[in-house]
Parts: sequence; C-alpha cells; structure tokens
Amino acid sequence: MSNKQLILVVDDDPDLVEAVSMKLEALEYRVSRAYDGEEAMEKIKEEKPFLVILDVMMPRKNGWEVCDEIKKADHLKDIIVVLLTAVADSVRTTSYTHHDGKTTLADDYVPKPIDLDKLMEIIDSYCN
Amino acid sequence: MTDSVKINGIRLNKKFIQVTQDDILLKMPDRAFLYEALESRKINMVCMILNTMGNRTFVSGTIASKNFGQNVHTAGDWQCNPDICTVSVYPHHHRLEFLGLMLQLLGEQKHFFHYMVSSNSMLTFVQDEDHSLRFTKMLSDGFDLPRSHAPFEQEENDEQALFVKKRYPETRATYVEEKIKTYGMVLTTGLNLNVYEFSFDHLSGFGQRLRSLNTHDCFSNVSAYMTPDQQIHLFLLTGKPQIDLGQKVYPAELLSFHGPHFGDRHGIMSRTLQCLQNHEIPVLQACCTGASIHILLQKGRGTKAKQALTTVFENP
Repeated sequence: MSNKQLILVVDDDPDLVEAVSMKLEALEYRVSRAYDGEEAMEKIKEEKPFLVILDVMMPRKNGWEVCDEIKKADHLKDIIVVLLTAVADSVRTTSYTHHDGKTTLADDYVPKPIDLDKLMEIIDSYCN
Repeated sequence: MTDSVKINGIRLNKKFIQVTQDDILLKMPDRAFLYEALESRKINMVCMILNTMGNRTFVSGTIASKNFGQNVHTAGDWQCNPDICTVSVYPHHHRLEFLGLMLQLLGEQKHFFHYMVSSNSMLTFVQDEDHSLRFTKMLSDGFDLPRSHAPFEQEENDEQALFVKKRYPETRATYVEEKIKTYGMVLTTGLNLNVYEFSFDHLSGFGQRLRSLNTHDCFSNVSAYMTPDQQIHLFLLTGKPQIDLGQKVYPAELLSFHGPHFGDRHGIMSRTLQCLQNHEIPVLQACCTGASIHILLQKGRGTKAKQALTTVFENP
C-alpha cells in the first residue's frame, strides 16, 4: 500500500470522481470517494484525509457548508480544502465571500471544467 | 453479504420512460433516428445504448417521463415502455470479480432487467420501477457498501441546488457552445469484445464462472439487453479474450470521453453519432450513462474516430 497522503474526492458526478481518483491513484496517493456533502463530512470525521477536493454544488450539503464545517472545527481545520467551482469568476481570494453572501475558507480552488493536470500540480504542491 | 466485494455507492432514479427504435441499419428515406429527434426537442437521455451487432440492431434511451410528451410518442418509429427506473452501482474497481458477483446475484434472485450499460464509474440497470426497492436491497445486502454512503435516491427539490442553478447559468447543462467541452478523449486499443447469448436461467452460472477467472482482471465496458423470451445478450470488452466463456470474440477499440455537464446530454450523443456517420466510421456499440460516452469500434478505427470527433468536441 502507498505511504502517500489520503485524499478525499467529493463530487456528485461519479465519472468526475473516478477520473480524478484514477489520476491520484496513478500518482500513488491513497484515495477515498464521496458523492455528496453529508457523505463527505462522515468520511472526513472518520478517515481524517490530508486534503479534500470538494465540489461546490452538491445535494444534501453543498461544498461551501462542508468547507466551513472543516475549517471551524479545531480537530479538522488543518485539512487542506481545494474547491472545484463552476463559478470561479466570482472567486477573488481563497478566503472569499461569495456573491450570495456565503463565505468559505478554502485553501485553494480550481475552476470547472477542471484541467486534471493542473489539479494534480496543485495537489502535489500541498502534499510534497 | 455474499462476499466482500467493495462498491462505492448505489443510485436509484425513478419516473422514466424507455424509448426504443429497432432496425437502425435499415435504410429508410426521411427517417429520423431517436437521438436526433430528442436532440431537436432538447430532451435529455440519462442512459442510452446503441447496438449494431447481431440480429437485433437498435437504439434505446431512458428519458424522464415528464419530458416525454405526446408529440414525441408519435414522432417516429419507436416503442415506449413506461414506469422505468435506473439503478446505478459505483464499483470500487471494474474487476470481473465485481461483474461476476453482480450477474450471479441477478440470476439467483431473478432480477430481470431491460438493459445494462457501463461507464468509467458506474454500471447502470434499466428496469421496471416496481422492482426498484428489491433491487437496491439485493445490492446493499450483496456488496460491501461504505457505512456512510449517500442515500440511494436523491431528493429532487434541493433548494440550494435550485438557487445556484438559477443564479449561475454556467452550472446548467444548456449547451450553446460551438464545441462542447470534454475532459479529454481516451482511445484504448488492443481490446477484445466477447459476445454471449444465453437464457436468463444461466445468468447466475455465468456470473460464477466469471468470478472464477482472475479476479483482478478488469473490464473496459459491459452492456447487455434482455429480450421478452428472457434471452440475455451480453457484450463484454476486456483486455484479454475470455475464450473459455465467450461464444464469439472480436478485436475492438474503445473511445471514451467525459465532460463537465455530460449528465445532461441532449445533443452530445447525437453529435457524436452524426459525426462518425459523416466520416463513414461504423460503430459497433455506443453507450452512455452518468457523464461518460463509450464508443466501441472495430479494430483500427479508433484513431480516425478520435480525429473526427475533435472537430465537434473540445479535447484539451
């Protein structure tokens, strides 16, 4: 088994989760998968991943809410959060206030449609 | 639980209608293909299979009942099957061990289905809605599902999602682009398409035999349909030919691609198939479920197909 960090990939598009996971596994990261915000929070508490790749628009609990829960919990706040967002034009900093008033404390973001190679570069920069 | 075969999730979607057009290789003047008719009406297919192999050539799509008005019922030479659902399973890996157990359970518990289609992340069954709960129970009992899995059935009226969709058109899959974005096209060559035909009564045994092969072998694509007389027609694309199981094996190639909003894909499959037809590239099978498109081609056709499709799709 790989000794590399555990990364949680969260998106309600399972094909995207699989595409990102396969890239990460090829780079020998350990990967966990979740398909909505609630499931993501369960896995974050249970598995304590090093980094979370987090879609914004998801059923049950969206990515902004998940990010806030992570960053406001003392025992989780060190987990790195990379948001995947289709509304990246509205993002000015990585600790931003969204147009609709939602604030997140994500460490980084990647605009959708994502460039998988660019995403891997960002992950590598945090993990190495 | 029968065995510890991991899956990542199960998804149930209801209130669909299945629309099927047969004999698609027959030349008929002014005939519209099902996917073209749906594209012109902006009707999405959540799942589709097109087959040009064997005795039965057809295209069959799964469409939300609410989107399928009377004008489409009578607009072409297709049959409609109401009260349909889709059940998708997200395998942990596309191993023959997973597929074998799935088919074994289906056979043992007599779960009939109309179609089975795979993508990079899921295996989707199109079946009668009446059986959906029994089907999901079979899956959750038979496989090792994460304790914290998402609900099998998603709520439709998620206020947050509706708010975001309304506010940010980019998150809607209303394609107006000249070239539709993809995450890239992957061509896999040197594959073998194993074709099987057997009675449903033999499905469980077939699944067991599949499991007895090298359990770490993977499949690249699988599709199947079941006829009213309970015959299964199954098409399994693998790296190694499964000669001990296969009745017929053909060398084949797989062109697969996936895009940011391919889940809403009215037009995407249509543009793909029209492009390949214009370039006179025959398609063995075309499948889509989730957000992926899989095109099965004869050996040696993949490179030309990929080049042709880059004129229609953006391929980073």
